[in-house]
Amino acid sequence: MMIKCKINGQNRCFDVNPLMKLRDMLLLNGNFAVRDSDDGEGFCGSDTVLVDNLPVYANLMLAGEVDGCAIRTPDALGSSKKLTVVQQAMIDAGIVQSAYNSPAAALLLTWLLKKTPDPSREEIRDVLSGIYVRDAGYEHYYLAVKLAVEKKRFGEYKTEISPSFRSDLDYIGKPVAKIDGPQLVAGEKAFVEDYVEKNACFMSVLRSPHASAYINSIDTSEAEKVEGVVAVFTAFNTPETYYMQAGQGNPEPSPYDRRLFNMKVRHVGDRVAAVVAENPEAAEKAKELIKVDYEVLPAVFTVEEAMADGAPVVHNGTVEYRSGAPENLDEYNKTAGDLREGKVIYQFPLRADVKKNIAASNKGSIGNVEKAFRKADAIVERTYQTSQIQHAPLEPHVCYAKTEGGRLTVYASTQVPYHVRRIVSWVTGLSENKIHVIKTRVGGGYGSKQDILIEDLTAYAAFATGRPVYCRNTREEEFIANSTRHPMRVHVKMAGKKNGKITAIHMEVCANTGPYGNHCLTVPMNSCSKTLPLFKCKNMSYDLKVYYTNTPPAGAYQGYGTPKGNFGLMMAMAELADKLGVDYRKMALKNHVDTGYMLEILKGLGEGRDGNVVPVGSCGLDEAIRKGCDMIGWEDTAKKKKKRRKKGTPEPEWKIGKGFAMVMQGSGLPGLDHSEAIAKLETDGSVILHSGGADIGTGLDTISAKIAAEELKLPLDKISVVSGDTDSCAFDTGAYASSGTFFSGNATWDAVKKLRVMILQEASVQMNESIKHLSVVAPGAVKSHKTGRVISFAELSHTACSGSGRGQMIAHGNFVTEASSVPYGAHFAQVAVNTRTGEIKVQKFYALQDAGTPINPELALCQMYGAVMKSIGHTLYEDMKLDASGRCINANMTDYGVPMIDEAPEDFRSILIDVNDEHGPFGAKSISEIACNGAAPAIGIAIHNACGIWLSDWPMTPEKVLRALGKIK
Amino acid sequence: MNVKLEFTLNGKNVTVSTDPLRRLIDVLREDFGCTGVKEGCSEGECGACSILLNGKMVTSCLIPVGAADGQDIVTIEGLSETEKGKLIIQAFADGGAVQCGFCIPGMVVAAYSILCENPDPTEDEIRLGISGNICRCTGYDLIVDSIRLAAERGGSIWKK
Repeated sequence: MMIKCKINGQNRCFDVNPLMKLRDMLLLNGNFAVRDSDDGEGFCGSDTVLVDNLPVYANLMLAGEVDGCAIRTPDALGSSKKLTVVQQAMIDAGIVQSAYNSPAAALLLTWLLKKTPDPSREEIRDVLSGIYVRDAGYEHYYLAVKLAVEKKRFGEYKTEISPSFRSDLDYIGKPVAKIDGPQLVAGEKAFVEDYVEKNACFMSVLRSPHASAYINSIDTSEAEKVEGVVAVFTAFNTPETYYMQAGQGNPEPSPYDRRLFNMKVRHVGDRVAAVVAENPEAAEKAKELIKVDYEVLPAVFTVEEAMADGAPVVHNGTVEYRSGAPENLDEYNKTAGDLREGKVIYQFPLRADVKKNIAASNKGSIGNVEKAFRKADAIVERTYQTSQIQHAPLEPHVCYAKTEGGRLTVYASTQVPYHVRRIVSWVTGLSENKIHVIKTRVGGGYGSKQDILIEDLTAYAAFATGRPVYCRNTREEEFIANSTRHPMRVHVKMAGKKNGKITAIHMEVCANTGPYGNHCLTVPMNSCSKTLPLFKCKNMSYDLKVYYTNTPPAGAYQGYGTPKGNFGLMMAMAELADKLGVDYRKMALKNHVDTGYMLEILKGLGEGRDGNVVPVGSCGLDEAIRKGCDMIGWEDTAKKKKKRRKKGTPEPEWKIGKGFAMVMQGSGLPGLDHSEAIAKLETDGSVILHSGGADIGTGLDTISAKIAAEELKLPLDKISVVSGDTDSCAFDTGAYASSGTFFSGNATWDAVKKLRVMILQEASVQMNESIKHLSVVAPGAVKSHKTGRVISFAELSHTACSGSGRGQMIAHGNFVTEASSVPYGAHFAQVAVNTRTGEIKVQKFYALQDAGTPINPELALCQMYGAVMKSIGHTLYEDMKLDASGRCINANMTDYGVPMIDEAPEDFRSILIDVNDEHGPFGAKSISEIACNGAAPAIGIAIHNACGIWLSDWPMTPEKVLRALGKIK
Repeated sequence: MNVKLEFTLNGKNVTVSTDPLRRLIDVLREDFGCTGVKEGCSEGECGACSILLNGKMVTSCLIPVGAADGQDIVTIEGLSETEKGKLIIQAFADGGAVQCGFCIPGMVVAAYSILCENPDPTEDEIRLGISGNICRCTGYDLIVDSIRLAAERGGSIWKK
């Protein structure tokens, strides 16, 4: 049928099935910025377009419905060369981060401002109610609108975008538009899907319907007959290489416990087979024709089930060690099952016992915990339970791989390009020089893209078939076959004295790593190593065990294990304060660490090796607590409790309470992480920076550019950043563990410092002057303080690259360290709890953090808002629910429950505490992971403060409130 | 913008000239008089408009009629003429499954779908099978029992 319509002012005619989705028709027209985040569920808003000037989801309309209509798509607003006021305001406000649906939001805000030139907060919220944001939170969307309104009315911004830091510097610490912002907000080519060529094949994965089963055989003969099918891969025709999918430094503290396809499936959604076909329809049809002979086995879904006597063993294969094998290993392996069980290969011992489903364990202590418990005035002992949570990035996992000239090129949406290359090298057998990983822009990672969950198979398929192969997870696959936050049971025993001094802490952590051991040791370890060092307590111990189960897999998630450990510790401290009759604020101030305090507890908490005992460095914790308490109007909890008891008046239905939590994290992994950068002076004096670091929307490339601009006194637009490209950049472990600014930033700093020296040396030759009289001056020149002569970088470089020159100036930077730069902070919540319905409203949330010198302060603030929103989601709404067979029953956006703009606190503030760090680049520390650690305990403590109940498990639902209040059973 | 569509409705070949974007439920009710197909929620949640499309249960409020071109459709009207349909309806009547009755056509389609796939379903399997159908009156227990009754009475006919 012919469909006639106007797209962005142009008359268009399509001869298509009227039942085709509008989005698919727009893709035919080249409007690829109309993206899809939810398989057409109508939730995320990435597919927003205007039809006859009304916003709609293009995936929920059919082509036939727009016959005769006028359509506007986000890519027609303004190009990166000529941005509109709204687009520019969005970049300036710091909300264009991973940006997968930023173009859609820009379209909506433009539409709003045309209709309502100065919209109210409610009108903005209403328009954005169908836009899901996971990275930057929602708060600065209000700011972006305000900036756009001001710019239109006054020709300039009147409102301050963010505070500025380091007045001695030009770029660092100032809000400067993110360098990749224009490309992203304008909806230009940016993400993996934009690089897929017309001849690409599609790969679709057949997944297990069983939580645990042997695959005895697979018959793919009928599937292979389907027209368009190129190949079908299974455990029976792919390599037996063992590896793991965690993107960690090699040798990894995670066991190699899987192949591309296993002969035992270990969770509902596990890989069974993959079909590569010339079109998606053929791939789906072929999948249905694959016949699998399963031998269904009993499964375990919780740590309690996994640790029970006689529990089914998730990995009952042979155990091997690449180093440090125990002497009785042969004996241990005698009870291993047959070959279908596969192997578990440890790079070094992680105190595992796979026959008991223990993938890793660790314990340690300082002081004399038992003695301190005996002498305590009060003890609190409680168990906290966290749920299984998915990262839910707007862009799902996606990969495009092809072979060219005997080399394999992999376009990846990843946090770890070099780990992707290494693992692809293992599964294909190609050496690393034959593999080119290109990290495109990344539409949200949050840890899920630290793991190589799709690149291994896609690259293998392209390698094995010789065809270009594209693979993209469905949203359901994002939940069931991806990675998630490890569900944890955190048992805390804490003792104190009447004066509020905490004298002993014992933590027992049982974590559920699911069917494979990605990050199995280190995530639970972080729940202790990034929480216990908050306390000046002489007696502390921890005991952690990690269990294999048959749930969907767990892995890295922003905050790593810390949000869970911190939830337990802070809640226990609040309960202890309550028991001792001490104000919680006083207790926090009395027990937190300060600069110079020696952190003995870290000794046993390295990542599979001895930890470094270091003193606390720069620390804004005390200021964060005091300032936050002033902002929120903290009331002495001991006095409030007494006051509540005295009152005999009828209780109001909504009760208000306040709470806060101390938070800390790290800045990368000292002694393990490694970053490099190459700085090249081009012939006209501009600079190209090749950074190994992976900008996943956080603004790392902008940080690299700012560091170079600052050090070389060069304007920002004379610096371009190429990053995350394994061919042209030097090695970097990747963007995880809050390492971006600190590690990759420091590597860049090292490179540009060396380039500055090279420039001065070259100038010394060309100017025939001693280097000691020369210095770099703005804008990109060398000046002699002796003669006053100035020579530009352009002239220097041109001569150096001429027929008689000494060669291009190229510097290589490298950064490793044993020093630890820890960000600190305190997060405050005010909640209202309805004691009749159990409803919880977060009325106020203040996140105060010390990020050292925040290099991009506006992006830093937005990352804090985004991380807090994620944590509010984890605390109150999000929970992957499994049925008795291990199938996730809410594996879609609508049922899962991520917070939207309506769930954001009405009074929401992020505050940066000004502290300079001695190790970070220009004094910077990390920013975003730490912001995931405070919401759960702050809200939990506030709920207690409001209505006297202690909720100890996520998510804190109205039902749990009413149960704790004794109103329902 | 009408197009001519042909499909099988309750065993008969039918044609209709209509806008292919009209909802299948509307065409079935308005053009073919199949008013046993009920509209409850209009968003695929309640299951009252359930029909069989090529033997699979679907909610007809979510399907544009263009998608029915060349397909095989069975509504409660057709189903109630069959031996299996009659058996289910009798079991529902005898089992006390019917109160206001609005959901029942959809429930019968669901029951048919369950029993054709699984002649001897457990209570849990029945509950899973009707999880897309809302009944506000009965609390489901007697519906579940009635489906079980239909399974027992039908015996081997479900295996055909």
